[in-house]
Amino acid sequence: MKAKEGVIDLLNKILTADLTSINQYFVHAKMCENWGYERLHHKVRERSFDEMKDAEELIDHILYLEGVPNMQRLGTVRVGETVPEQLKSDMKSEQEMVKLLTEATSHCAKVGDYTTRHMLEDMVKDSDKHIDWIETQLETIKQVGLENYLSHQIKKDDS
Amino acid sequence: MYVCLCRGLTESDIQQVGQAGIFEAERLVEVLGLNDDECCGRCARDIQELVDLATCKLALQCPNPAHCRY
Ligand code: FES
Repeated sequence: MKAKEGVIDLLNKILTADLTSINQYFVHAKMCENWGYERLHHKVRERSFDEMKDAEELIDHILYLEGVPNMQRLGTVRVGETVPEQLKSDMKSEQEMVKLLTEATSHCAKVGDYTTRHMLEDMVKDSDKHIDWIETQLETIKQVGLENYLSHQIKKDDS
Repeated sequence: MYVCLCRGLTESDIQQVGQAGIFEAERLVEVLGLNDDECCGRCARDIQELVDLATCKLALQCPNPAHCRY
């Protein structure tokens, strides 16, 4: 199916942001594992995999629209040296993602591409959930202190 | 935060380099090797940010307290 005007470009922009987030979240997850924060490691790793699934969906959709998925381009991977830095950096990435998705959603509505719009709306919901989770972590840190927070991240969720 | 992943440099690394007297854009790129083949050069694209980092601890007073990140 031929894509409506500007849709492929926007999808590729989102794909770039997505590929960047996959890497950023993954390295944050691995650093948490290395520090012994099992619980955080799993949570953040999961988010990286979620982005990977989004990337798959985007690539499939770009191909379906007869475009070329741009796997070459990558944004800046912002790696935090500490857990709070990582959380804030991931928050920034998600906020940028929401902005990008929102712009793309309204463009799709304007050109009458409702399938793409629907797909992007689902992605916004996931990003919102992630932002919400990060906000909770930052608030918890504020309330119980970083040391207390981190000591609770040592165990896995289900153990 | 890490500011250069290719070289594994953090914000405080850059501040130390600044305190050692290296804070001009070209010198930073040269000394840190940000133009080498194995480096992506991405951080050098925002070289002003590195210059700000390298110089901010040198000033007696923060030149831009309202927006200071450090
Ligand atoms: S991030 Fe600094 S050269 Fe690649």
